[in-house]
Amino acid sequence: MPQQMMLRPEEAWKPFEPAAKNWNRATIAHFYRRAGFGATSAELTAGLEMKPTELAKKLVHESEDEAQQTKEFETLSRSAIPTNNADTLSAAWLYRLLKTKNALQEKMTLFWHGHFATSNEKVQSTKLMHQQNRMLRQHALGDFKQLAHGIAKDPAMLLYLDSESNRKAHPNENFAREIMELFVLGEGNYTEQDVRELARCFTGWELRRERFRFNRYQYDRGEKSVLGESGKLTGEQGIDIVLKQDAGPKFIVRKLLKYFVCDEPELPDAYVTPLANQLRNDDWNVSGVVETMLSSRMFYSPTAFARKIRSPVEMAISLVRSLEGTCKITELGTKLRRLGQGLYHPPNVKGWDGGRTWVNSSTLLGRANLVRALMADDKTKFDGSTLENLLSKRKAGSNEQAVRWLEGLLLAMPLRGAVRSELVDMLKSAEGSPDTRLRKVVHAMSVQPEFQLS
Amino acid sequence: MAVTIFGYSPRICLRLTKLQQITLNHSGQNMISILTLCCLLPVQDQAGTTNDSAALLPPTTAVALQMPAPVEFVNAILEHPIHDQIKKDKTLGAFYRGPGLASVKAGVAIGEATLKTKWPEALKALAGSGITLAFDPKTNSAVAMLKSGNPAELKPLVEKIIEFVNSQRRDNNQKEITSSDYAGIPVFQLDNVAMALLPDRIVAATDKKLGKWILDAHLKSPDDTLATNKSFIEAQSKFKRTDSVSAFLDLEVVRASGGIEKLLEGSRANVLAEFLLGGVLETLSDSPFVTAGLAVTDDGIQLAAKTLHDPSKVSEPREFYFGPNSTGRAPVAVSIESGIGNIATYRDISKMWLYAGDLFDQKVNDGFAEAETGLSTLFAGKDFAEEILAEIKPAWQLVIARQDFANVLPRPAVKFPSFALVGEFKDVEKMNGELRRIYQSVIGFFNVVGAMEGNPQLEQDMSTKDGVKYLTSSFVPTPEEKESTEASIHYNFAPTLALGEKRFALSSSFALAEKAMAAKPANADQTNDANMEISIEAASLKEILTDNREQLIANNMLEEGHSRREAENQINIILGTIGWFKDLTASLVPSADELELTLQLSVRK
Repeated sequence: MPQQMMLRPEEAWKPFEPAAKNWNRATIAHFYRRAGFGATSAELTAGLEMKPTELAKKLVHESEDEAQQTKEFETLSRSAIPTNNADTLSAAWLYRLLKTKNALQEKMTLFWHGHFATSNEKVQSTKLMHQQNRMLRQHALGDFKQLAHGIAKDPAMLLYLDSESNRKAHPNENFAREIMELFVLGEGNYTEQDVRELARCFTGWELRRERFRFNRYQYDRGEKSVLGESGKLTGEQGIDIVLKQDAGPKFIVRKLLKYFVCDEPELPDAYVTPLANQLRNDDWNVSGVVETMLSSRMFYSPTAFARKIRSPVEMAISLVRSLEGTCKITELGTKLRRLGQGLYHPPNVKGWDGGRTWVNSSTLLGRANLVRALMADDKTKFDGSTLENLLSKRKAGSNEQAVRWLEGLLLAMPLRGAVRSELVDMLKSAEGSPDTRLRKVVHAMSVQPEFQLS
Repeated sequence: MAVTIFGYSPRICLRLTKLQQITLNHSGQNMISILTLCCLLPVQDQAGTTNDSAALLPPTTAVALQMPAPVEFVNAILEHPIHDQIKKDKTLGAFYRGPGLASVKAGVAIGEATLKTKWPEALKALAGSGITLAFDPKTNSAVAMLKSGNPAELKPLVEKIIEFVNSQRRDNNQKEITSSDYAGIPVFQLDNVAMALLPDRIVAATDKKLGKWILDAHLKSPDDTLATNKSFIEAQSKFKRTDSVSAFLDLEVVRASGGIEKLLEGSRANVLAEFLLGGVLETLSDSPFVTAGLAVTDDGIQLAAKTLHDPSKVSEPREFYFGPNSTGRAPVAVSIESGIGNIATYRDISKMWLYAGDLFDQKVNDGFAEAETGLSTLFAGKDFAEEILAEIKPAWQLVIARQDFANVLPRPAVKFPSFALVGEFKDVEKMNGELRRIYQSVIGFFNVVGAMEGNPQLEQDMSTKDGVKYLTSSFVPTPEEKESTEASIHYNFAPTLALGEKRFALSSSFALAEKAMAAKPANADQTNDANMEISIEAASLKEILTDNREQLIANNMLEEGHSRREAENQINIILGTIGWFKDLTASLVPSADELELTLQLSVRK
């Protein structure tokens, strides 16, 4: 995106108030791809009746799952605990991503899962990973301070960072370093001395029988000096000092911008500062700044449109959700892990790098194969039936209509004309039943570059 | 339904019923004569069907399946008590209450109108005197022979069917069935399938060469056919006259194709396969044929397979399976309340372990070596195969039972069945002492490992009841799981060693150990002819699946992507289906000259 086309910073975060012709199914689909995991045709139609600000407000504040559904999600996740089955736990979250009405909350939970990256590969406890996931969801669109304090005492995180014990004689610097470098401030906003001093604040923080415990005998009662503040600081006070730093809101906002608005280019400070100020003024409440982003001119500008590469989870869940589908979920979870985004299995403490790292010659092939496997499987149903029936119900019966309808739901930008014609031809003349041909067209779409974009 | 009277097929029973009416006023002697005649009737009938079909098949036929009375077989299926249960079933019975049945009936009505005959008559005319299916590896072709029960009606009926099919294919722009003749025999052809109409039967083959061979056999009655095949003749003596379907498999052909060797290869890589089937596979590698018979009765379905077995030819390594001279017999299975299953068998595990080098491939042997090192440590340095396993008599049983957690806390979220190994020691006094010490060290070991992994700890206890000493251990609930109804799977287990005067039980729960030690065969002198008996009780199996219903539903939702309602439906179908059955039993009985494997699925009445 050429720099000159970017909105000016003072315009960027103002609410998007489009003329009627600019508020269409494509812009609403863009919203749902970013704020959630794609939209069904009905959601796109309903979106036309709302303003961009109303749509963002609805997703941020008014999209609760029914109590029965929430209970169901919880039951599914808990079913993984007795047998400590990581695949089941991952599948239970994927099931939730597919079925939830509160897609933004899940999108933010996934964001925090990548931010406070913890892998069951090391933790080896579905119980603790589930516990952490619940906490991430609870604060997903809430108070980041609580989230930071919660994660500091989270058993799965402490296990992951080898911080089960932290004695005053040998302060464990792992969590102190990560909270400054990866969780709140970012590199360059602290010194090695700050790490050592903050680690002293966390002395006595231990894990016993999978629970956080403060061992007062191992707590270093001496004076510490962290980021310019001194005193007989406790771990909690140490976290509060870190959260007070100006670099914090900017660091988090930058990550959120990359997650919701665009991978590239990295937006200059002038764009980040207004949102960072909002986050600071909202006392670290994340929902406000997310709502601003999702209803902003910048979000609907060419700087954001089709400027992100979909992660494997976004790609697969969006595909199935948009087509009102269901599929073999445990198997999907295994395949997503092979594509580099196994839920509960981020690659390292930095989480998923995202952006261009999602695609290379091997993963592109893997992505197409994943779509092919989904489409070839009879167990993949669409609104409980065939894809042919779904399109028929949605009044996209002709070959041309079908390709246009699928394109509008599945792609962030229009197909090139020649490709579209080829797909229409494929529907006319490819082998198999009409349903098989439609499934082949979806697979053919998935190998297009446009399919990789969000 | 009259299927089970004297164990004869329905058709025969109908004859019997008519004859009984005649004999009501006869003397006892006459009655016996007539009954004898009745008994002979089916023999002649079925044997006749078998022989005259076999006389048309080439001697190289490897597989032959025969259904002597298809009409009665279909009736037996349709009138089976289980059919009523399916109709009454809330989920599966929906077919009978919905449009499904109506469309089937409409289809049948159209068929009957087209053929101008009712379907039972049509079936009788087409195949009333038997169906034979066969495979000939020489031509790599399959053949079906349908022997008419009403030859006068066969030709017009077939012509009507072909006319109907052709009209349908014409409407769909498909290639029609062509007709020609071979030495006066009408022949019909569609793609690779050729069908010939003999005066009393239809012959359909997937290969022209085989079809031609059969027609030539019909015309020339050759000397060398399946009916003159030595193995087939011997196999026929094994057929039961009451079987609804009987089968013959020429093992020479299977062996020539390397099929048995492949199976043996598979068992060399799989300990469980060797344990269950190793002896059977070895027998098959020497026997000329296998026969099988399927019988459908009101009580259920029985499948019995027989093959020739020569105890003197059992290899030394597989003595572990059959015992010396094939005399190894399973113990009489004990009956346990809430029992789900029982495997009673003769298997000399010590010998199997020591002969592992002959029985298994390198990978499995490496596993044995590794296990032996670990087990020797666990068993106080003793040689596991020679000092532990060798002390257990080779006749033993594995009992599996449902556990009742209704009033138990903590209650595991996933409820496993308990299982117990019940056997006898060769030297009771010596082993009782040894095992007590070993039990204590094993539990100690579990506790050390468990503590390292944050698992609950086992607490040991000891008690004596009715002369049986029980060493038991139960998991001490963690404070957070004390009152839990969704506790970890650990609380399914209370490892127990029960030591009686003769018998011992090693069980995953104290309750099952107690039941297993208290249970005795109904008759103290009862013996078992079987080398292995396996039984599964459907009611208890259903109960334990019901105990874990929520877990099964969750699994189904995640595996299949179903909604809760869809998952519930599927699980209900599984539970409902299990509910139709009483039990499933399997037994393997060796004798001086044959080996018989019987599977019996009994229905609940």
